[in-house]
Amino acid sequence: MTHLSARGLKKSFGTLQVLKGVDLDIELGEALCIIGPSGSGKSTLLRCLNLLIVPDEGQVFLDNVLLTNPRIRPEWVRQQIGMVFQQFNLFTHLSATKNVMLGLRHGKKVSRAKAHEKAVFELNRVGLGSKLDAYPAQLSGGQQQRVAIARALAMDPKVILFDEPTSALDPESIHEVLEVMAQLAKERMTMAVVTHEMGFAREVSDRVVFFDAGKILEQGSPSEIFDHPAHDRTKSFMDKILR
Amino acid sequence: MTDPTPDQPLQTSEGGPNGPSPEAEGHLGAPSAAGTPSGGLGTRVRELLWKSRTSLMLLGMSLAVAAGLFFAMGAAHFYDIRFIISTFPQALSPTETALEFTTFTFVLGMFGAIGLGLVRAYPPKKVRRRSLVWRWPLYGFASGYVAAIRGTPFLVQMYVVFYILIFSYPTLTFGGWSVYYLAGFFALLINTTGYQTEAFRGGFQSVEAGQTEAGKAVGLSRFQVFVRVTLPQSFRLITLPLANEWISNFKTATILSYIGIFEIFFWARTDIAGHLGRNLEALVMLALIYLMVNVTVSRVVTWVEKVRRIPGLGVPIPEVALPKRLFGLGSRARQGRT
Amino acid sequence: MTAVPTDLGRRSPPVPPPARVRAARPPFPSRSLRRAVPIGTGVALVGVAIYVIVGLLGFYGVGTLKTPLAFVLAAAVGAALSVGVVAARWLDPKWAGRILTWAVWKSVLQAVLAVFGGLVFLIGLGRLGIYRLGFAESQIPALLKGFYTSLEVVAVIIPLGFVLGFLVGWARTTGSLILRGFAAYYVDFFRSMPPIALIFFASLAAALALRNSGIDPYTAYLITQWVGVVALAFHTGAYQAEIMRAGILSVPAGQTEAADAVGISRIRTMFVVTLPQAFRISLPPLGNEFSSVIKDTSLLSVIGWFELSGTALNLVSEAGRPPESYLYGSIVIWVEAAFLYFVLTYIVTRTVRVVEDLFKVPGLEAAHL
Repeated sequence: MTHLSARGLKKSFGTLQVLKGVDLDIELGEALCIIGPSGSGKSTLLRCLNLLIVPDEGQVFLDNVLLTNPRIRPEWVRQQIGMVFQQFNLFTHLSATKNVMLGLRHGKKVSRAKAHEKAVFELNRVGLGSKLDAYPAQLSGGQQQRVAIARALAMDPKVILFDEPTSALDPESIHEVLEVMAQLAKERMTMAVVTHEMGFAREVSDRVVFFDAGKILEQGSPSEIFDHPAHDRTKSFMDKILR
Repeated sequence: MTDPTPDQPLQTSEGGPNGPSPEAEGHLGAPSAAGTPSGGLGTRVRELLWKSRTSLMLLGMSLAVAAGLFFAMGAAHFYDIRFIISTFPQALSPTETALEFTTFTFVLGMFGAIGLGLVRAYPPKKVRRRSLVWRWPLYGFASGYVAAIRGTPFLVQMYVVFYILIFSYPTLTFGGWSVYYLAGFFALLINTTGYQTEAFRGGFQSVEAGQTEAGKAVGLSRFQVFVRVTLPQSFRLITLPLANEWISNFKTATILSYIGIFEIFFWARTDIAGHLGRNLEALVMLALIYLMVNVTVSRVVTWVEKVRRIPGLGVPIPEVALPKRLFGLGSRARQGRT
Repeated sequence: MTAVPTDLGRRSPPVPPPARVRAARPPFPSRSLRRAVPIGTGVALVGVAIYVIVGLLGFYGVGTLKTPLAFVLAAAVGAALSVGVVAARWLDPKWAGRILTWAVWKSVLQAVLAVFGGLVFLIGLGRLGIYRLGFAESQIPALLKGFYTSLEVVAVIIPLGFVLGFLVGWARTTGSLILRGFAAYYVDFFRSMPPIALIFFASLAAALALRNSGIDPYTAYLITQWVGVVALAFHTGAYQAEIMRAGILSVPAGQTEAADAVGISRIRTMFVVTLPQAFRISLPPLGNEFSSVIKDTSLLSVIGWFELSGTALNLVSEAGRPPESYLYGSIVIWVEAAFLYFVLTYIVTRTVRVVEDLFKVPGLEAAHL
């Protein structure tokens, strides 16, 4: 049963068409990796899934609920679908705990005590129990991204979207973030990850999608895409990346 | 969800049994006193004072020099210092009025300014699915209002408001204030709202786009994103411009003396200089009041910004050519270090 | 014995230094003229069109528009263009390229159109009966005289304040503690004092000082008036000092280090490296400060200057006006004064924008808030 699916997504910015009709399915509990060259529209696709960008055409379904229905509050959509950004985007004026609590308190209207409890739990889960009151500027990149993951987890979303979560990190920190994500995948959290970390994609994901020039070119299991790519474009991309 | 068992992969950065390893401390090292609640109030105050020791020393020096100058000139009979000391208490009432006018208009103006600043910060774009036609005239009104206030002197604005009020409601009173005082109040309010709008607009537009995106991604409505993310960050970003606007407001309030409001300049001009003929003493007293208030406010705000701000947020103040040591200066000395 | 090569030690024949390369001058009539003609004609045509349209709409007979403004405009544009063409011929072609770009003239055109548009709008409002146009018209000549006086005063204050501000701002960035201290006190004092108090007391002090001297009353009066203006110059000098100091400090230290490494003396570095960049960065806040100066000149009315506000005050209190128009007329007069101030501010800020465009260098554009 597909959990999150998109049908016929199209999006243009001015004269540039970024998404040219995308159909995507994500199963419940599946870890999906989206790979592809820069500028192919992967970030736009991800943002269309949680309606941060409204597609020009096409529909997004979550558990058979039409998300692009204008009668649905976008806030509700984003409480079901969490997002982790490339630039972390932690609220710089709030401590780590408050960052995680913000969505709970004001989006879901949870009481302060319960929100605090949940925030502490999630921060411990990503391994930052000792940094509860630190401000983002006092944390390293890897720690900041883990707080961002905790922030997304705290909302108990059905799906988490990761937009190149490790691209802005130094090589040492990439490891700590990927571990958290691998642990989440092990726990069967439905996730869609746009990434350039091919090792992670190969080992952790259940399915890989190759995205190029606004369309899905190929999709399949990691071994299929990495070892036996069907399209020439996929082959040339793999050659460049995996050398 | 599984329990956070001491899972090696998840906690390597936080170190093994020895606690956090040094490399994992984060780029800025240990959290500063401003960040953690550790330590009692006493240690925090001491740390604060230590951090601001340069500013405090300079402030102390300036005060000493200023006081020295004042008394020296008094002793040299440039002005009658006894007269100043004995008449100074009279300044209390007009100063109170001036501060009242300034602060009330400032605070009231903030509300309007946030609203208008919001309108000005997000000009209506042409591509909109729903026809939000009402946004165009609103944006036009906000822009026109700001342009009118910023393009005309307060003297003119004051007289316009004054004559309009006199023309329409000549006998208006409110809480003991006559129509003259009310006219002055409204004129000042309109003026400060205009300038604060621009300050807030700059603040709203300077908040990083990623912050608002993250706010939306966490499930906050656009109004909530504005209140919980944009607005708090804006206040920190524009603390100094807002303080400057308060000071400017305080100075502008002097013009109100020309429609009969009994504030500092009116008092100095008519009572001391006019009735008593003590011109120089009037100027000195007026200068004392304005210098004390304005310099204090701007120093305090700069200090607050530097010391209390959350690490990483706020416009970095150009670290002015304040020497690290008070002696052995000169650009040569400074060139010696990188 | 092997022959010793005799040409090893000989120096090569002296090579004459390369001839000084001068930038090639475009032939005259140059490319700049070819650009100037369409732009100039365009602007002149627009001016004439405005004149004609306004005339056709029946707005003539309104006080100041009786002068053939469009022809004056066209003549001014023509004069500016000739200057530009001469500059193109005799100066660095780079400047011709900059002066005669569309960006610069677009700013000028926008300003002219805006002022005209505003005038037409206001006159139209009057025709619609929102206010009595006749009364408003009758005040304009007097207010215009005040406008010109304001211009005169502003033209004195801005350069004076600029020089003061530059000196003080530069003093604040040097190493000498005494200089820095004095500069800091100057800035603190003149930024804390309200300008109206400065003007009033400076003028009063001058009046008292001259009271018992032998100078004749008229000269003494003039001196007290101009002392007020100088007080304003000191006031704006403090603000400009801060602006320029921020500009100087925002030039990265690496540049002065690089200049030092190449062997340029520190004073020359200041003029050749620091100032050009600091100047460009400071232009937008300076433009803001100039418009503040214009607004502060309204305070000169309290010491008796008949600039725009002074004239308005005078007109408002004039006897001989029908009594029922007393309050209403006052509002109209002050609104007209406000409009003229707005025009003046607008012109000055536009001029600063044009100067910015003229000196623009990619990468150094400061943000316009």
